Amino acid sequence: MSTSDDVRAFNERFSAALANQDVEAVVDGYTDDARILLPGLPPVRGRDAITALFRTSLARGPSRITFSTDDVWDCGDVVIDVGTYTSDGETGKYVVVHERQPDGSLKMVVDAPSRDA
Amino acid sequence: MARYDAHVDWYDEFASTGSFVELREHAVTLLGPASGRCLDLGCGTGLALPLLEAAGWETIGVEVSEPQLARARRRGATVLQADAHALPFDDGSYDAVVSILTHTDFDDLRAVFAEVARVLRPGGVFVYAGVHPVFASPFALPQEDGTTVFQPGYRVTGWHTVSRYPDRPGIRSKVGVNHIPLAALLNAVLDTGLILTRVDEPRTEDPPLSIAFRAEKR
Repeated sequence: MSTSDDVRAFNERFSAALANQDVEAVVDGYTDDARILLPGLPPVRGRDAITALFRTSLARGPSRITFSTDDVWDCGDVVIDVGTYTSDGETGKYVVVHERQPDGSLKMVVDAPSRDA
Repeated sequence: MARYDAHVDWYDEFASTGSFVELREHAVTLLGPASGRCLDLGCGTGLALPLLEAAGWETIGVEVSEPQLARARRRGATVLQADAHALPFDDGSYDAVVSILTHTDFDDLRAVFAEVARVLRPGGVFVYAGVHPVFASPFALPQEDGTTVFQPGYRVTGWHTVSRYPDRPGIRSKVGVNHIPLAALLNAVLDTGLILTRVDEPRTEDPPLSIAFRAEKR
């Protein structure tokens, strides 16, 4: 599989976890020290904070989000995915930095989405 | 589903009336001179956010009810859906925290205040302003002659859902209130290690129907 295929597969699994309100699977998509960088907010950093964030938002209902990758850069142990997303009529952009894990899988170490105005 | 999800329009109008406006202004004044980033905890539809921004704070609102937040977002506020009992922020990431008309909404006030103390930086300021735990409690029954009759039960923390005025639906009948005695409210702050530096009973009505306090992280 190419790196682009890895990223596409990761994004599909992540979308499915959000749609299934599976907090554990969502959080498992991040490294233990990952940061989510939301516009105007302090970083949401680390497993506890990321768990708190998704536990609250997914308690209300499934999040149906589709990611569309524009570019992937494969830098060895680091893979960068830049693209757009749509979610329940909302659109936005994202930059995601993945760290390649010892087993070859990807996990997000930085997730920087921004909702379109 | 959060308790306030179905009450966006009602709450926005209810909380826009005179005494609540004054309480928000009181809270912003009590914070003191603006310096940095302020978290509005339980910001609802974002009614306090413009006041905080006008005072010079870089303001972030958090709220558990997404429909309430959607209204705040439409007002142009920077907001995040989050649970006050487990905030998704680093220790010491805020210069100030303000929370207005929220303490009767939380399941576990001590856990919430512990989170406030955690996300404040040393030297940071916390201001709370809300309904008076004695005179606006479910046990205080205002009479037509201006006196107030007290029913037993004040010492028991717990949820109440019957309105103060049967002909006017209020917070109690819409979402319920979690009554907490005055001493427990203040001790919930002191037990976090925050230092209380001011306690007010704002406005001039007698008896007072609101309380506000300021605490600092040393």
